[in-house]
Amino acid sequence: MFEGLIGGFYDCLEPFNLTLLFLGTFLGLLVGALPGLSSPMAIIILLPVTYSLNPLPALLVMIGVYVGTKLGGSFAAILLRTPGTPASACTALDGFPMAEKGEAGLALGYATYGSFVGGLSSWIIAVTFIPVISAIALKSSNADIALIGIMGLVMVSAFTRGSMLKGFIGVCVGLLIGCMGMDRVDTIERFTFGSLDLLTGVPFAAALVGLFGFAVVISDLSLMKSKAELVATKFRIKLPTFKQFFSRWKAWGIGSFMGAIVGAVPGVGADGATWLAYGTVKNNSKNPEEFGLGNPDGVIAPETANNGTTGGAMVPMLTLGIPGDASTAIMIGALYLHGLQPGVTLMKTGGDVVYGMLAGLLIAGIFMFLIAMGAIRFFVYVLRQHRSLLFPFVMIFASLGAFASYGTVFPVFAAIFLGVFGFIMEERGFPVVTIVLGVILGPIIEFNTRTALMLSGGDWTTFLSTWPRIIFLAIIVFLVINEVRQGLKRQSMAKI
Amino acid sequence: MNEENEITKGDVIKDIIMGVSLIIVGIGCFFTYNPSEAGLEVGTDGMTFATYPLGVAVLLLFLSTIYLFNSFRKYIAIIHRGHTKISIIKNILDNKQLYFKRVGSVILLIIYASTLGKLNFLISTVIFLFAAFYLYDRRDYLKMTIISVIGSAFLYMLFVYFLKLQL
Repeated sequence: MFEGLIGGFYDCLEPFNLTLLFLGTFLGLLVGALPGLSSPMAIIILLPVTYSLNPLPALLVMIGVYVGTKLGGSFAAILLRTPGTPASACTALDGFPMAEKGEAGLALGYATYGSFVGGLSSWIIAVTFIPVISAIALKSSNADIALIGIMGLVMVSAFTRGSMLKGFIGVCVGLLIGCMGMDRVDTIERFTFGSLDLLTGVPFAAALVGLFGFAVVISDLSLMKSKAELVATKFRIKLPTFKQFFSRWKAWGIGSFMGAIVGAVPGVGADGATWLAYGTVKNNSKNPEEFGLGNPDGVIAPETANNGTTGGAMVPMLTLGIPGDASTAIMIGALYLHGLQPGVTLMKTGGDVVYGMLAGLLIAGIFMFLIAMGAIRFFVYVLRQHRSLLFPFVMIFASLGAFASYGTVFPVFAAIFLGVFGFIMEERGFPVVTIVLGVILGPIIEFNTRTALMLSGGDWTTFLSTWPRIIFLAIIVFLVINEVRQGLKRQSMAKI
Repeated sequence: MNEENEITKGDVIKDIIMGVSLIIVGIGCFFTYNPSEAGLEVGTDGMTFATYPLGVAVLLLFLSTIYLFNSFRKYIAIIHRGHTKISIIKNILDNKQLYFKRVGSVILLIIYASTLGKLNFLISTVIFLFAAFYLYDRRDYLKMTIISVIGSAFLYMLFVYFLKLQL
């Protein structure tokens, strides 16, 4: 493990890779600071730029963006009360009152420290658990992989925001999109509507660009009304002293722990982790009435949790091929686009990339800290600019991301169609991340289910033949029954 | 009860339309899954190429029916509370500029996609950027032109020269 990690650092510290990681983190902070633009969209913007790169440099840029957006979101939350990313909404509760009291610099200082500590804690957890889980996962057979895939879909449906019903419907739509093209086992075309372009299925890049790029732009056009009015424009980040920060150990301890744990659960994402950490710290505080009025703990807890999810989300993504959130879903897509097979075999076939990504995660956290300290005024300047200048460029990058994947316009049209479709689904509360997961995991589940059945001569009890499989099935059944029970309970409450 | 209090009649009607659309998609799968009209031969796994997609389609139909049923239930609850005004049309009229920008963005994207690989990348991008700025209510023509030209040149340099994409 240590050899792999040292190799990962060695790869990351190459000047070219380091530069890409730095630029990715800078872009992440920039995009995170702008309300409406989030980490998945920033990664989509970079998609065409990464095509000509090798897998590790391409993924390092994405890691940088992923880490940077986490802190960038807090800039707008503290200075504008409009969170840059959904996960930063919680930070606004105490960050903005601090800024109103003339402590904007200190609030940003706590956020910066918190983000760094959260990222560092979750990195330690990721580095510890990924090799262990990977070693176990490598022994998985087709039936295990199929069940892990189904479990991932059920978890994302259950834990993502909104109802599980909508999550499941999103997954089904994604699975059907994933069925398009030539069947891998029988080589018979499905849902191609007579189109030759669809014989190879819906291009991954088109699905990612459409659902996370175009759909978000179409939705966020509503944010393009006016310039942002900041509560403070001239200041520097004022870091608290170590003593000040470490005396608030409960806030960053709870935030880091919850971020790492919740981040590892597919579907919950950073939004859930931040609110959970904030609520826990507030409930355990001697002075809960101070929360919402500018208590630094109310900034530290959500920010540590927010960045704490980065390492947590890497665990299921790099070991099982199940993304923890939307950004890691895109990274899984990027792994495919660069010829790697995400899932239980990734550590075996692309171990150097995995360790490189882990090393990049830590270095990106350091870059995030340094860039935030040095360039906060630039981010504040960008925050005040009109969004109408930005969206056209986002659309061009997204279009080129789809175009360059096949070198034809078909993926661009597919992305536009999926963008409109994704926008409509999101408007009605169907999380698009469930659709993307269906597209990614659907073919894996089908192929492995059929292969497992072929090997067992069509005997379905193969899915119950080992203890791990029984546990996977039990988790799936428990989650579904629990969600149905809660849904029925909500309905009976509504009738009263 | 609280949840239903927050939901407007317009929202529920949109939910009903969504439910019906999803059911149509589910039913449509049964007519489109096999465009080459291949025979359904059961393999050693006891499945055909159609088992999985049709299984998912059945699941989608089942879930969409529950969703539609729930939406109807909310609709009836709202009707009983006396909320009879339909706000969809009013909502569209109130936000017509936003809808115009959304539809306009999609049309612009379709036109831009059609020109990729056919028209010169630099020219099509300049036109797209300028048109998009105009659509998004910018009227500072000089600044729009400068940003369109410089932005397109930057994109051209990045993608064509540095990244060697065939555009």
